[in-house]
Amino acid sequence: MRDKTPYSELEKLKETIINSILLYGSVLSALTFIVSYYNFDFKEFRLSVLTDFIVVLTLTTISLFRKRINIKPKSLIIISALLVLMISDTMKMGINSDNKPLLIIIPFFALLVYDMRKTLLIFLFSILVFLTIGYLFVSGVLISNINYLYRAQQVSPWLTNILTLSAIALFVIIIFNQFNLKFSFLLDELKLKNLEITEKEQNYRDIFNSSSDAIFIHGVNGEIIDVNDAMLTMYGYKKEEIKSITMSDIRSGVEHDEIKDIFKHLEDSIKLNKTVFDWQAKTKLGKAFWVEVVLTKTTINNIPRIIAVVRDIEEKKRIALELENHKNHLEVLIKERTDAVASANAELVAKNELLTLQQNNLQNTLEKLESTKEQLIHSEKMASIGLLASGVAHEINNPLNFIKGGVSALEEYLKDAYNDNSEDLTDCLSAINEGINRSSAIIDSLNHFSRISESQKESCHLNSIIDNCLLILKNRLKYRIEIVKNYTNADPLVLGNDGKLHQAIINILSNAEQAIIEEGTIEIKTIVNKKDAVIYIIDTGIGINSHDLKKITDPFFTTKEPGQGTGLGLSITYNIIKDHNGTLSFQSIVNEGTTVIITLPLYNN
Amino acid sequence: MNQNVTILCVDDEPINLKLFELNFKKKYRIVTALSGMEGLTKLEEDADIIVVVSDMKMPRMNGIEFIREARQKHPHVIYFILTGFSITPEISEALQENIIHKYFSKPLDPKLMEKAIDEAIQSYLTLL
Repeated sequence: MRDKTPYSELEKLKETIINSILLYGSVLSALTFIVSYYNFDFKEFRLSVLTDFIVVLTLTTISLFRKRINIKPKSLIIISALLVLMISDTMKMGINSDNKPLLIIIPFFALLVYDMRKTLLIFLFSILVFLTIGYLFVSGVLISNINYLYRAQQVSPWLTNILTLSAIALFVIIIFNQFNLKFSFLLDELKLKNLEITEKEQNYRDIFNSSSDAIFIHGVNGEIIDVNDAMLTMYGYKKEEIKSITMSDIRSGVEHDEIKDIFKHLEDSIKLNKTVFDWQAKTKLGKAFWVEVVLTKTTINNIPRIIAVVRDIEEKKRIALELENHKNHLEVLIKERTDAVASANAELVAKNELLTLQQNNLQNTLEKLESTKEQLIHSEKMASIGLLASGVAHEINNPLNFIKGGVSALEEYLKDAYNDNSEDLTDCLSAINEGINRSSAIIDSLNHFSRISESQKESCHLNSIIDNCLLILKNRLKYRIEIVKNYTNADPLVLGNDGKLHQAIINILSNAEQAIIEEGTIEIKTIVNKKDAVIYIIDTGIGINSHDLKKITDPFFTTKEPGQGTGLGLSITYNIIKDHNGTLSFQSIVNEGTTVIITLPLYNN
Repeated sequence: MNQNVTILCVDDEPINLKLFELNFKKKYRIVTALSGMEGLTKLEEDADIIVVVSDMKMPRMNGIEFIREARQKHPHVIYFILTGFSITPEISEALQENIIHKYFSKPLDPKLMEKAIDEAIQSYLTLL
């Protein structure tokens, strides 16, 4: 559009010129025609009159319709008209033709619609036509019959001449005037536009400079074309120094992952039209600072440019860095705290586990304590009974000693006094001795239970232990239960606690006795193998069912009525045998009887 | 027989002492004491005593205590203990230390005692 405007203006101008010339030309040509022929005798036919008339008529007609006809035919018609006028007049008048100056004006019209080459061709053609006519005159083919002298004395030729010349001058004036008018108008317009542009430019400059961001205008290779005031402030340069600085003067040069080469960014901006990135710049004094750069590809005055808008983000960066540090510090703190909490938690969990374990242990210990307490009570009871028994035994032993000593002394005395020892006397003394011995045996058995000793290193004769126990239970067994003894002859000896083994055996024998409701047999068998002594106590009692059999050594397990038994007997027995490194096992068939098998390691001294 | 063997019998029961004397006077010379203290005095007075039979349970000084004391000055004497209890830890300890030669339970069988005394004297004499 901008490009077309001057041409359209020019076309308009040409149109105006042509139209003006047509108007004035047609008037002047008509006037000239009238002046030329006002005293002419039209009865005498002349070709030039006809042509002139046609030309004037044509010009007048076109002049009337000048607004409706294109410039090109108008111009061609004018050129043709001029040529026709020139030719007709020159052929009549020869070198004295009034119209030959019209030749001058032909190129003007040609130039209005054609380029220079065509214009010159048209002009050349016109000159050739003129010269051809001239040659025809010189060669004598054409002869002017005009009386020049006569003509010079006539008014009309002079008027015609001046009119022709005036027309030419007028055309020239019109042309120049029109051009002048147009140019002065265009110049005014140009001035006005310039003023506008200057104003806009100033506005842009103001905007450019009012930005707090530094703005660079770069060439595509990074050269600095222009900068704004903010850049001068930011980088510390003076306006006149800008021409001499390059990119290398304003980059920090610090090696950093974040700082990509600026030329790469420039390439990117050309490729992508726009790039945004953080960068480290440098002031004139060498101080590095962080900036955010927006590179935008643009075109200024048809030249590709890159606009760089640079924002100082040093403070932002510093705060970001500080924030980052704080964040890192926080993260470290949080991690430390988390670790501390985790380890505390782990400790707590461990402690908790330990506590649970301890609680379980305590629970077990409590249960053990409970059973031990009961066992202790039981033992204590047994011990008190034993203590009582031993006290009684001692007190009985002394009087028994009196009897024994007395009988012994009496025996000697009677032997000496009466030589004939009557049988009656002997029987008598034997009876007393038997009484003493039995009493003594019972007391001795009782004594075994009263042992307060905790020793595990006493020599214990299993057969005699069993006998002691049977002696104590004798009253309960008498007339009801048959005792069958199958002892080994080896006198099995076990190292341990005599009193406790007595307690264990009496418990088992007592159970066997209680298992036999009315009458039955208890068989006691002892055998010795390589390392162990084995005691079988076999009763023909009611037996124990398999369900109860598993639990009979559990503390407090009893099948007896409440108050009849503590349920501790076999538990204590089991523990005693275990303490002697022995085993205790049971075999039982309900209603047939129970076999208790005790195995104890032999003492081989 | 062994009238030259002198035996000291210590017991807090006079009946026991009397019976001991009655049972053994034919074989041995018998010296008696009613307490450990008295027994020690008797040992001092009578150098012939080569066997001591002491009751265990006595007031103030029991049999083992008396024998331990007596052994200080009379180590070559043969000591026996007589007890109404069966063996006690104190007695078993004394046996292990050879403080006493043997122990007897009441009621005492004079024949067993006699046998033990004779054996002890025999081995004692063999040692001499």
